[in-house]
Amino acid sequence: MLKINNLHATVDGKEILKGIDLAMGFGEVHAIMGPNGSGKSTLSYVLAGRDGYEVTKGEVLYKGKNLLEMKPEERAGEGVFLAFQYPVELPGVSSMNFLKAAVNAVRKYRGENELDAMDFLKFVRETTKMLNITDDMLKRAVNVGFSGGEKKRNEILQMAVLKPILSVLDETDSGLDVDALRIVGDGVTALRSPHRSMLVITHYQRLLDHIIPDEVHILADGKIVRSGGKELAVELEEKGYSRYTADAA
Amino acid sequence: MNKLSATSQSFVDACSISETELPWLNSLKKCGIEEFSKVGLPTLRNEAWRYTSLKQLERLDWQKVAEDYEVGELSWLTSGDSYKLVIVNGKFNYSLSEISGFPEGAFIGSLSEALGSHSELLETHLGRIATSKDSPLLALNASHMADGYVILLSKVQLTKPIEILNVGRTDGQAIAYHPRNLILLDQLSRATIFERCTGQNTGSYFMNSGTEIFVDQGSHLQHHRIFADGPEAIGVASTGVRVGSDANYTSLVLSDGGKLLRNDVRIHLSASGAETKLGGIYLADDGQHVDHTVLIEHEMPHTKSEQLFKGVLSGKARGVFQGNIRVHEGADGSDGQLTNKTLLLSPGTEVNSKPQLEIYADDVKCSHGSAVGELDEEELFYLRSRGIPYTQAKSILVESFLSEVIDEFNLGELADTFHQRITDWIRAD
Repeated sequence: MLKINNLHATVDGKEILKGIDLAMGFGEVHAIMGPNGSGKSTLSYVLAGRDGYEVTKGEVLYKGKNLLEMKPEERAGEGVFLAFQYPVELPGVSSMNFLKAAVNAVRKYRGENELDAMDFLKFVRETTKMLNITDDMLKRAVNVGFSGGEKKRNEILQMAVLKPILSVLDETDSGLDVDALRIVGDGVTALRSPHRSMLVITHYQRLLDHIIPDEVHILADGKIVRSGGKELAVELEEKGYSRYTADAA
Repeated sequence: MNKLSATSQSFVDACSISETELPWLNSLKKCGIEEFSKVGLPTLRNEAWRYTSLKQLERLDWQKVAEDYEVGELSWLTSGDSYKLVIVNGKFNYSLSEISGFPEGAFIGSLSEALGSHSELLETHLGRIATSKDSPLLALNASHMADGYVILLSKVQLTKPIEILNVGRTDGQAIAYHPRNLILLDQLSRATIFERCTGQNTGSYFMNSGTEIFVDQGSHLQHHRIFADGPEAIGVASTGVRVGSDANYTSLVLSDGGKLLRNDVRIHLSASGAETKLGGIYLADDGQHVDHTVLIEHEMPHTKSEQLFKGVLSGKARGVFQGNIRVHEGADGSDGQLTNKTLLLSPGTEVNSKPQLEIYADDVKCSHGSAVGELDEEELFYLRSRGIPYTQAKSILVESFLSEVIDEFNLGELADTFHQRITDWIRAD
């Protein structure tokens, strides 16, 4: 489903990713854990196609296609979704209109009919209920004045309605209290299916109590330095990252 | 005396003042031609015209409007229930207007008719709210004053809006016209006016309008305008407004047409409790020059003004915003707020934003702010990462930027029209 081979990337001329190799199958959940500055967010932006992140070497194959050649909107249409670490505020754009534009854009890309306002409302209702998202939040401008927890729930709502095949969750647990973490964790877990894969990027192990990964990778200084099962996350939580950063240095 | 440019001289020569008309009107026109002859068309040396050049006027040979032009199909913004006025090349057209059922005792019609029927009222107001000394263009307008629309309301609350359509149309010859309009509301009158300037074909015309408005004694006027002139049109719209005690003038202006537009508004808050609220949206593309210049005069204590102007420029467009809040001596307790924001969509655009405060009173609450920026890369990426294509993402951001202005005004059914113009403009860009 996803194959990353020897991926190198620079930001402002500085090399951040220094040869990442990763392979994921359909339905798998992989966690990428690493200390600050190890390149976690850079990897997520490279996968989503943000400008300013230059790939200098290597390739990313997604469903057998060259992901790096696609525009961000094409990647979304093909089923790639990035849950932002810092969701962007869009003043003046109502959450409902934003969601509808996004859903209809990917539906159009996938050759499905676009939803009218009524059908769309029905379509989002179930998901909003599960994620504890009020109608009031949907009327407000996207992420404007949202609390940290509201912003993250809003990301998961977008993920749910866009029905991605590969979801990249960039530090989705940051800034969440225990209750919000549970809502987000349950929301993500409900989306797990044999067709969907998830790449969960996190600093802490706590999100992985809610989203149980099939594999855990440790990213340090732009490389994956160790991979293992879910027990690796627990080990990290106990012993910390110091030995990996020391290794890398 | 300076030597006038050939074009300025031709405007002076084109002016014919009849000695047989009303004496006060005669002297108003003479005074206008005198003022205009002193300075001619403004140049960049004129402080108020530092960023907008009328040099383009020098390239063509402007003729007076000779005959009545055929008019193509007219489109209306208001659905059935409204009073409708049509002015073609500055001339009021009764056969195309629909003004039946206008309330008893009130007047709506042409300037030439009003000069006959309401001469005294016109004498006390015409040329006094927007004077020939205010600007050379107003002086020129006064000297050529022939027709336009007049609306007079006293103790009348209109239940239907008035829609005014100013059509510019020429089939070859470049034409210049100078309509003069007057709107008077007093004694708790209320009215909503939607006014549009449109061009019906691609010919060159120079519309130099002068509009005088007096909203007095607790009256409220909503005056929303769209400037959508033809691609070769040069428009200077000078508007003088006087707002009296506890009266209110509210106006949202959208401009997206013409080759050059100068929307020049001067508002006198001339009695305690006078308020004005102005909004502006300017959209300009390659080769267009748009200038919104606003002067608010807080002449009395406890007067209030609000301005929110936002623009989007693309291609090689040029935008100018000059906003001045002047609080006169003794106008204590005045409140004046002004915000101007411009979004530049391409590197070839240029904008001059000049907000100004001149305060000669104590205990005032005034502020101004100005910002010029580009579309936010992060916002664009966020939208695109959700599958929304680049052009649509751009359009969503531009619309949300401008919607803030529309949302400030109670436009009723017309709100959609304003939104639609923005959507259409972005799509065409």
